[in-house]
Amino acid sequence: MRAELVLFGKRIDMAQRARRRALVVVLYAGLIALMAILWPTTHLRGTGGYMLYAVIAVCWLFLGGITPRGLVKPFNGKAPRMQTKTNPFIGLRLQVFPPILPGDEGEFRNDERELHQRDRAHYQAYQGVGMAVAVVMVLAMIRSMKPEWRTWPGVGSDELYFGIFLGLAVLMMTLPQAILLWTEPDMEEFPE
Amino acid sequence: MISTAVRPFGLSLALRTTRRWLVVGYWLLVALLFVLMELDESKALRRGHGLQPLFPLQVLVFVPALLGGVKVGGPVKPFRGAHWVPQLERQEIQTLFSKKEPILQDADLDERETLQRDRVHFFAYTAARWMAIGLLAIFCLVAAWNPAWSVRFGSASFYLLVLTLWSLPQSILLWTEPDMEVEE
Repeated sequence: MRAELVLFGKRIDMAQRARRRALVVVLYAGLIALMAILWPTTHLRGTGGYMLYAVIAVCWLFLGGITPRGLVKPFNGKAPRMQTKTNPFIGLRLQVFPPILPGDEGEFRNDERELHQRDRAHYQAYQGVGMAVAVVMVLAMIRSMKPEWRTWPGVGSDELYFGIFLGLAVLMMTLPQAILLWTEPDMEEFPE
Repeated sequence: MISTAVRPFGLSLALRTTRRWLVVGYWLLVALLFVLMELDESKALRRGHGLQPLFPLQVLVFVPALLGGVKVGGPVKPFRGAHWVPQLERQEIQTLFSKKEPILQDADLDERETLQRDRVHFFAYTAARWMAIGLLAIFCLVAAWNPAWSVRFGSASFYLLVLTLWSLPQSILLWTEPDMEVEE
């Protein structure tokens, strides 16, 4: 895991666990708020794609894991393709695509301890997602047994399934990184 | 990670080939039950009655437990360990009318098994993530093409996802673990 978050060229110290936890809370609150805003407009149907874009942006800028940038190193341990030149328009102004030079591969590789942490976080996330889908499944079955409940919560079954799939995809793309950021203790500062 | 005390149909699971056949048989059973449920749902839609939703509930409770992991007594040791002795009693048909003996070796995972369990869950999670995103994309396409099919597709694919989530790590473990030495 990285101790610094590089956001638009500015370095933010994230060595303290309290800061990382606050970031996780803010990110999930933001995603829930986005879902709540999109729901009444098109019942997620037309705007669900924007949620996925938002999750990819969140992973790219903050969480990492499934993207090369962010606090958590890439889970697959691979560096992105060499990019010695920055994009002249976006890269230079926003500094969200810093160049990747030949000596930077080590920054993307997980050591033995980090691999164990990654696997443990995935195990915990898997347990959480497994329990979540089981609860949803039981609720769906109860709903199908009681015909009067089929109109609850006021949305069609297809929209409900769409919401479930979207929520599940969002959770599966972000949960292991969130667990890692939440549980990793404060990082030690190296003496200068 | 794999319990040598459990012998489904009297077969030893020490050989990887046997375990792979077990995994293939398990997924064929899942596929068969899935087809039966879809046929039952078609009947329920036509006649207004069927086995729904009791059949899927029974499948969800009993089928993933066949491979273990989520429950004591399967080929894979319970992922979370078992700390309640009655849970460790054998539940095989062969011991139905005889004295039940606890499978004490399945109670806890050692260091190596814990690391192996976590590693397998990483691969299973990665696969399940792509599956969830893929199902979401296919659901969107189905809903755009023919909205009447979206509910049917949604329920079937969600059910398949739940079964996969509950069985994938055990299947990967049984498939990949090399041959074990048989204790005399």
